Amino acid sequence: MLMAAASAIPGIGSDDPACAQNSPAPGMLKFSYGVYEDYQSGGKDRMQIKAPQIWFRSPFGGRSEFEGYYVVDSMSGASPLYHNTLSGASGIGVEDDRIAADGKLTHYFEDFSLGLGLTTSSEDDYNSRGASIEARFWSADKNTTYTISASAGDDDITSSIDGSFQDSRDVLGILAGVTQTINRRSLLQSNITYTNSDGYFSDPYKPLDNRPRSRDQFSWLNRYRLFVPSIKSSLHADYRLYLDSWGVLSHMLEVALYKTLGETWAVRPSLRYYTQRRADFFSSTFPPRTEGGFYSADQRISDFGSITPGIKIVKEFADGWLCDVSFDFVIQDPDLKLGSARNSPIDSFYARIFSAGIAKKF
Amino acid sequence: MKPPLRLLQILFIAALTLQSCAAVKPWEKEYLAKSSMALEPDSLEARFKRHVFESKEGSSGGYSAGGGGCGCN
Repeated sequence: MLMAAASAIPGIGSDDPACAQNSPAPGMLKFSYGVYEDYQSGGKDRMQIKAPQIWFRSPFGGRSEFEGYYVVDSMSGASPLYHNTLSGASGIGVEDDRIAADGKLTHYFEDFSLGLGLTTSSEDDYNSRGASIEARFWSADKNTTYTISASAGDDDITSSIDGSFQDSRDVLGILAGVTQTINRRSLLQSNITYTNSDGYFSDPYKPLDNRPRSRDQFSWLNRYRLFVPSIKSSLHADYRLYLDSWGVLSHMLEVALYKTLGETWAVRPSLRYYTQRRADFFSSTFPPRTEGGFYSADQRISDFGSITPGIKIVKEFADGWLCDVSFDFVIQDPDLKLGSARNSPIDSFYARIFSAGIAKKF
Repeated sequence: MKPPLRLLQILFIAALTLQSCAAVKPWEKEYLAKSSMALEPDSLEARFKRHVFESKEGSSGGYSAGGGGCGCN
């Protein structure tokens, strides 16, 4: 009865109601088209990705639920050999398609649920397979939900420019989390994840790139939701702490406001801030001033901060149809890092993320 | 971790937990049941953006135990 009431309330189409973690969620089919473009200072275009995606969820048998996802990433552009140049074998540009899919089957019992998931991803020089298991337990009043899950993955890595290169990587991960209803208008989810990876991490297209063959990663994610009746809006605030055995440490804070406009429109402004400390073996100079023989000039594991403002508009139609468009603009720069970036020579980096989707509830 | 950042984290968590966790009855959950109160109101958008950020930044995780890898990071 509560879910029927929720679906009758106009607002943004949802595929994960906060109260539905202890029973199958309503069915939904969604298609979206995402476009990503990035460039560096001076307007040098780098990468463009176009990604049609489809996702669906369907309850069945009264107590079970299946969720599936499929995407084809079409990537084109130039991948820099070093962090701020377009040169070398990649200078003429690359084109690659990535196909990824995953599925998850969940069965709900009286006091808990069990879920099994499979995932696969395939591209010219990278193939990945994984499986996961998840258990959720909730209190008698359903105000508290505990989640435990584990996953295992196996990746094969090759090179498009060196047919003799082949390596692999194994990944094991665990998650422990709790979702707590705080009061009638708010709830909090807190998750801790740990991932152990062993194998090849270096970039096969960067001859001098030499990274450790293991990586331990720890994340602590907190997601807070608050409904404000006076403005008919939901406030989202997410914070994540991350650190790993490579020395990377980051903080991520994202806030968003879901505001209904009239009966069938909604708008969601958002702002994300991210700050990262570099990996121990990162160096923007060569020969590198690092220890242990490891070295990478990959901008992605350097010191930097980023700000991402975004906006999303949703329109709800009759019979459970929804359309949405969203746009985010990423500004990544060493000077945005919390604390000192120590006169980093790395160029500013910009990206545009556009997404448009259509969905049907059933 | 620098003291100011640690303090901010503690304050963030404390501010939330200072609110007493009330025993909310099922008939009192009308606000929590709103679609806009979902942890992820749009799975596709969330996945796409997460993939973008994880392939352009040096960190990931917190949302699930694991997932498929890619050659983007």
